[in-house]
Amino acid sequence: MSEQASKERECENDGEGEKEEKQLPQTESLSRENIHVELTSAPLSIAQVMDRVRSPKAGALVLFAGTTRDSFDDKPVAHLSYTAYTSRALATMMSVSEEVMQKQGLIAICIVHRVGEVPIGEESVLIAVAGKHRGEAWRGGEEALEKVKERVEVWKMEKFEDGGGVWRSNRDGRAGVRVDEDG
Amino acid sequence: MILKNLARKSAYHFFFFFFGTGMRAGNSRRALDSSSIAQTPRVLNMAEHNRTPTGTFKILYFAYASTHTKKSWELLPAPMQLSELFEALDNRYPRMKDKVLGSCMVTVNLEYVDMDTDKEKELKVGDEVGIIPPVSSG
Repeated sequence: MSEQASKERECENDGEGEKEEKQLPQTESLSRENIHVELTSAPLSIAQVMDRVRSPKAGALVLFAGTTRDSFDDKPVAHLSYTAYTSRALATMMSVSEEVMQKQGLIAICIVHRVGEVPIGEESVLIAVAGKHRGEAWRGGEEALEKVKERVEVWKMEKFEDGGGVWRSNRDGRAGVRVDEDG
Repeated sequence: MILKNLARKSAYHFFFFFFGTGMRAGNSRRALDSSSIAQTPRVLNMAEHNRTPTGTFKILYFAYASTHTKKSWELLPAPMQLSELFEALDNRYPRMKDKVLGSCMVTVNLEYVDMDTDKEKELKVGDEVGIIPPVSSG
């Protein structure tokens, strides 16, 4: 088969797949005793994340919900999307969870990050922790979030209303690399 | 859904195989990549080992690395010394070292490598290499 013909065949297949893809949210997760980490293209459920850490041993559940902002440095953001190195990101989320669990003596932890396009104002990340007392739960929630933002292999692309886009970087907080050509 | 994903994956690998042999028959020296094979857009890209055609490793580009190369992955000839990787990419994609790789980390089969101390490391057939720009989750 010539390269052109092969490409066409690919494209036919590709188009078919895409339709299904849009109807089916994709979710990948890792679970260990009292730890659940997940990447999903579906809208995040606060109730589900809270239920994953709920325990009769807990006196405190702390939830952090990160939501998508409509601006960056006063520049209007039209929409955001996240991409992930899924298997690497899940492994990092798992080790962050283990580290924080152990350090703060938590009962359970759940971290879920959304991928793909996320409409403005919706949750992009949820972190729920359960602790025996509020002190370790507060600290654990904050520490988990900071480690997630520092290490998890997920990237945010902000597309501006003028058509341009920017890959963000958590490390330096600056605009990252501008990508006007595919805006 | 799992079943569907599996079905998708095997279809995808079939094409992979097909292109691998087709390329050799046509005596083309062009490497396989995600721009020459239309890819079903997948939001979640799982690591896929041992599926690369003979003589290649798979390299994944994320965020601005994928913007610079205009693809999310491709196959490069293996084996290659890790110390040669950035030069090789810079030759393929002008100014990539300067604009992209200087701020990136590198994984081999999901483990981070140190570009200074792991220089002797060899990228082998079937390896999966990730080019990891600074992350921006949350």
